[in-house]
Amino acid sequence: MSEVKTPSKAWTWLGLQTVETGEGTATVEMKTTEEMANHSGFVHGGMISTLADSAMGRSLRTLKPGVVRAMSFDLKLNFISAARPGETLRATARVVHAGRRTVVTDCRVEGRDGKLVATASGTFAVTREKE
Amino acid sequence: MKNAIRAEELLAAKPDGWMQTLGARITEAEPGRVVLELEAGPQHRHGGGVVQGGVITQIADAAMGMSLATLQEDGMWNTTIELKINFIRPVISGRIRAVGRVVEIKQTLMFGEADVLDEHDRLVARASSTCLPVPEGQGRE
Repeated sequence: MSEVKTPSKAWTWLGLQTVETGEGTATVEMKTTEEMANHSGFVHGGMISTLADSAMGRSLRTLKPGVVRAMSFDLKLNFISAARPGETLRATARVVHAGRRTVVTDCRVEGRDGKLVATASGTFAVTREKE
Repeated sequence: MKNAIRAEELLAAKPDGWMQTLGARITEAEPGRVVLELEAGPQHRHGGGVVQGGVITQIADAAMGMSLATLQEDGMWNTTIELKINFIRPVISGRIRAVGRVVEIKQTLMFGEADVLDEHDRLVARASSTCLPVPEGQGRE
């Protein structure tokens, strides 16, 4: 019930793909394109934020008891290295704390050859299934 | 760059200044990782009866800054320019540990993370910070 069945419109538009899930973890990839570039020619930070937020949101959908609804209410990123359009970015997210009403997650975004592009943390307001 | 001597110096140092005020001490230090502890008591609690968030933030910030310092050359230290924390579980008493580690050191910015744990190793808070390298002792009178 809580597992995501079809990707959202935003996921489809950005080409986000879940490549792996575990208990409280998810890996999501995004193939960046020229359309995602900022003025400096690097991948726009907002695109990386979306990827990280999506991966963290995906990771909490693997929790048991399941998450019926989830909304990000806090999102923070550190941009560590720049990414170039064309690079595939891989966001590995995990649940740090799973509460009844809130879930705390973190995430690493890596580019080519595992280069650390960003780290993120996100907090979600959730509704969970009854045990 | 590993500064093993600095890690040893941190472990050997007597708590003074804010550490003395809070009752915090350094219990583990190695290049890239520093642990700070304090025994939570009534002096650390706010009106709600739990340890005040600033106290937790303080040891987390210090654990992150010191872990970064163990990878800096002599004569350089760092200052926090940005910090974020999630408070996950309240603490009333007992030993609190802040485990700081280095995420990455870039040319002009350094990134740290810290887990704050209670005496049962349950996660109390999770912090991340960005620090700027500065000459050691800057700001001293």
